[in-house]
Amino acid sequence: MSEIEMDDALRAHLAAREEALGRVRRMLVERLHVPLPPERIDLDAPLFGTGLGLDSVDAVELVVAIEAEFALQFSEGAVGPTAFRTVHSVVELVLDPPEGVSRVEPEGVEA
Amino acid sequence: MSPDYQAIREAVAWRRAPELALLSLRGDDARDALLHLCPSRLLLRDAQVEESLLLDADGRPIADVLVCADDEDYLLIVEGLGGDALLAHVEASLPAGCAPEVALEGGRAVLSMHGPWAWDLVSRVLGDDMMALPYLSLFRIDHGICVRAGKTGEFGYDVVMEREALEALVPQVEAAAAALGGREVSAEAVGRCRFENGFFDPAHVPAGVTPLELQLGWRLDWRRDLERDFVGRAAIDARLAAGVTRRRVMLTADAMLSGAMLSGVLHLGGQVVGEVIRAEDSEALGPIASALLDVRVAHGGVRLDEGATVAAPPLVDNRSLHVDPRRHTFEARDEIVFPPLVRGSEA
Amino acid sequence: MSVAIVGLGAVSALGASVPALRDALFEGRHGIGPITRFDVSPFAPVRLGGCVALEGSCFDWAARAAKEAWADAAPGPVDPARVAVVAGTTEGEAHDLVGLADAVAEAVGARGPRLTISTACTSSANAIGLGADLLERGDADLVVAGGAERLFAEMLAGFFRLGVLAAEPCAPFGETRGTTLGEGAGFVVLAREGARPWAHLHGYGLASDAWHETSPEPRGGGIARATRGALADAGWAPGDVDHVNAHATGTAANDDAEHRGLRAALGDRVDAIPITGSKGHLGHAQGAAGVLELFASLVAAREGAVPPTLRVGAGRPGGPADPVRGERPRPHRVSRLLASSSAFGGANVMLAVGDAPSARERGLRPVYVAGRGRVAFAAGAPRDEDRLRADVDLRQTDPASRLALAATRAALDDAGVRVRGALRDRAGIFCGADHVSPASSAAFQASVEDLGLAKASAPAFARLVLHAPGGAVARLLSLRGPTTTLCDPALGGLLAFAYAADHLARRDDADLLVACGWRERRSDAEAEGASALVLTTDPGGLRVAGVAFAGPGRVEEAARALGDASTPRVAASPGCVESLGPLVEARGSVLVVGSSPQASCAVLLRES
Repeated sequence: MSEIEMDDALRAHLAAREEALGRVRRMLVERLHVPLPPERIDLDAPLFGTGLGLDSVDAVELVVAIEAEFALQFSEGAVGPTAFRTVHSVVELVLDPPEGVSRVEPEGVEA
Repeated sequence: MSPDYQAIREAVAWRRAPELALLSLRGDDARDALLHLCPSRLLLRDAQVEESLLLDADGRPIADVLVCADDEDYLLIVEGLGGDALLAHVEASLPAGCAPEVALEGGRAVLSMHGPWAWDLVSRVLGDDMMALPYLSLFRIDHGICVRAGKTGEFGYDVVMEREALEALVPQVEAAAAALGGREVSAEAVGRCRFENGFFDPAHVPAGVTPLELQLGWRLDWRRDLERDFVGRAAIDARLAAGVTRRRVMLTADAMLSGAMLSGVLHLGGQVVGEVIRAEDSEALGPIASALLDVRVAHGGVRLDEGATVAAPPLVDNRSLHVDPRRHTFEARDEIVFPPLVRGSEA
Repeated sequence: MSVAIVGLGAVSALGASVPALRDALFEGRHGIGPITRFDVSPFAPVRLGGCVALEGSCFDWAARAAKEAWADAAPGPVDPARVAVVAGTTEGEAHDLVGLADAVAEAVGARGPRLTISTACTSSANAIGLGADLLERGDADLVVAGGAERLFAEMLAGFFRLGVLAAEPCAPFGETRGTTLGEGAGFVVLAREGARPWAHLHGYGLASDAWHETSPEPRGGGIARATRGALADAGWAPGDVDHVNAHATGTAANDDAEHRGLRAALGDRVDAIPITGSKGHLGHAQGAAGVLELFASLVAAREGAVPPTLRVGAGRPGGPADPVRGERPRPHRVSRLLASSSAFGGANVMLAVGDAPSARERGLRPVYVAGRGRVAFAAGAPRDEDRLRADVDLRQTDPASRLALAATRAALDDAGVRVRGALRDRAGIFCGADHVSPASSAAFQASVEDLGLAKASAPAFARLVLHAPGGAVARLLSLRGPTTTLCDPALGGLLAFAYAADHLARRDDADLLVACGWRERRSDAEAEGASALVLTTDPGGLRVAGVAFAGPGRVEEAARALGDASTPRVAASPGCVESLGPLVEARGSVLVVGSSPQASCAVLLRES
């Protein structure tokens, strides 16, 4: 495949997206026990019910996993169910957290 | 908002679904046959339902399938391949020695319900227990089954019944839907809502793609150490070996630029990076499209030369996410604070 | 079954005696208040519990309750070896489960068998049922049965994480959703007859949801099957029932499902009778819930009343027609009541209790061993997950569940049985185990240490019930019939076999029961594995000619009860898996005996 030429801003944007996707995939396999190879977890795969097949008990685990993995803290009600619909929506959530989500100061954790 | 769209997104909608074929697999070979025909894991217990596919030998999805486990038998609700073509596909696909009882269930038909209050509709028509039907499960009912799956991002039910019994039910459905502010809707309206949610539609599958490009890898069984040879597996393995270079994404765009999007080819900095699969005017979002995009740029927030931006589906915030059958009633629906259908649209 | 309930004893949020419970109920008081024994700030806004005002462990509470029940029963002179104890608990104290039965036995001087049921929130109700069986079988002349539980921070954390706790005092069947945890101890004394019995146990039913780790089957299928089992056991028709004390936790999932299940089993009768939920008074006392809530109905019934469901208000749509609104017991004549319990892990228990002895005679069905299966990994040998794999969804299962599943599948294969269709409702699993999955324990502890109590792992918590592997096997294989788990350090498997064989013989709510003993290693230096036997009523193979339970160190007594001196005798090695060894290996008639610090057990197999 030939190289796609792009400006630095786009290159940085894509690099951040790829990195976040990789971390979300790894988190889903390691913390939520999603039974797929990480690279086979599709960006737009639904998380609950269909898709990756998470259930209600996993829902609270997902929030904790995202907080721990990305050093975030969600205040009550800050994030609606829309943010947890797909891998893609979680990627967007961690890259651009809405109001009510705070960054936790790193304690030896790379944030 | 058109009445059909409003019914699906805000109230209840129903329609007969003649495009769906019903295929049953029974007998001792039913499971082996299923695992050969459908590529998903399908670790189904009785009364569970899973979304799967039918693939052709090239690994291209040719049908959307809801696999319903009825004890040790299976009912496949198939969209995209019907009647004789479906039977021919099954017969051509099964390996030697695998001989389930295969039947097209022509005596049965499907009535679909959609909408944030569809659980109320189905309960009014089929009884209060239906309210408890979990997602991707089925309850047995007189003359058939009721499956909860959905294609619009809203609560969705497929009532699968003997034709006569189903027709006898229609007046009740009609009356109950009217009481819930809903109506009979067209296939096109359901299809447009399905598209807004970014869901798979077997009517829009470009040539040469596999589930890998369509972001349906989760419908494949990845336990590669298993001795399992489903239809299309060799093609998928070959595609993996060669590398997956394109990804199906959803795009949103400025209304002004919809014409350019429809032209088909998509560019980034003047370079060709993909092609449009399907473009629609969404009632909520304006022009939206699905496209096959070079995986290197197939990420949310990437803005293409055509003025279209890659977005994370579902593109709408379905009201059904905010309605809880255990807490809410249609009568008191005004007490629920719904976020706008489109994020940021009322900001 | 005609077993008299001749004594009651209780330590609960309503006070440290049965009269205290009675007075609170009749004076319109409840026992829910702020939890003070440990820091509840991580769980804000949840801070309430139905707590016991006494200091001490739940073993102390149990001893006190047992003594009260014993004094209430005022039995005449009795041979201590003929007094059995059956205790139910989820957690016991510091993971010691059998210590509860020990404490009760010591309190009343019992030297008969001490059996422990650990099926989470159905434990005490199941214990009463098994206690009645022992009495009816003749393994004891008096039985002290019940359960105890103490609320502690990790327990609250688990329920909190599952999102089922209410900030306000819980309101069973009411508009407030969510439950309030409680604690306490309750024991009954069971006898064949009594001068002034509280009531008579006519029967009970056990059933598995086979649905989900923590959510009830939404149509209440498990409750419905347990109810039908209890009705059949008691010889009652739905129209005979004139009161139900429901499990009614207050959560949306439980209360809706339970009422649906009751309706499925009782039909329109549910609309004609008062249905009480007692957790608004007591909180959800978990392992002690079944027995304490039964007491609420028994003390009210003695005064011609039914207890109220606190805070039910207008009630939920689809809830009971008559949830006994108000603050005080309401006059209502109760002759025959049902008391239900449901648990995480999917176990359901229904007790059928009448005001007069039952005249029903019971026949016994012959029971046969149809299949055996075993999986074992020696000390030091790695766990071979390939041998534990199955064509079912194993996500979020622990090794204990996979071991139990592998042995069960092997046993079913050996029996040549495919559990499908209508058989699913009539097939169940009885397990015996010593300790919960160490892997799940470690996962839960790690989550607490890493993230704090408020973010403890909900899936791991759900697996910290001794019955979780039994529940997982029932779920993954859709075994919807009777189910339970017994705890015993040395005899778990053998006791589960004996209970299953006896259940199958004396009830007709199942056609097939799996008896499974499992053990997951705590470290690589330990062995682990599971053994399972399939019991059926279909003739063929070895017949279970008899089972007997006796007190610790009384193997001879148990063997003698089976009246067979000529059959070759084999002593079972200690261990939940090992104790099943002689039965798994038996190819001809054999008398298997085993003993543990808690009990002795004998099982006689004969060629048929």
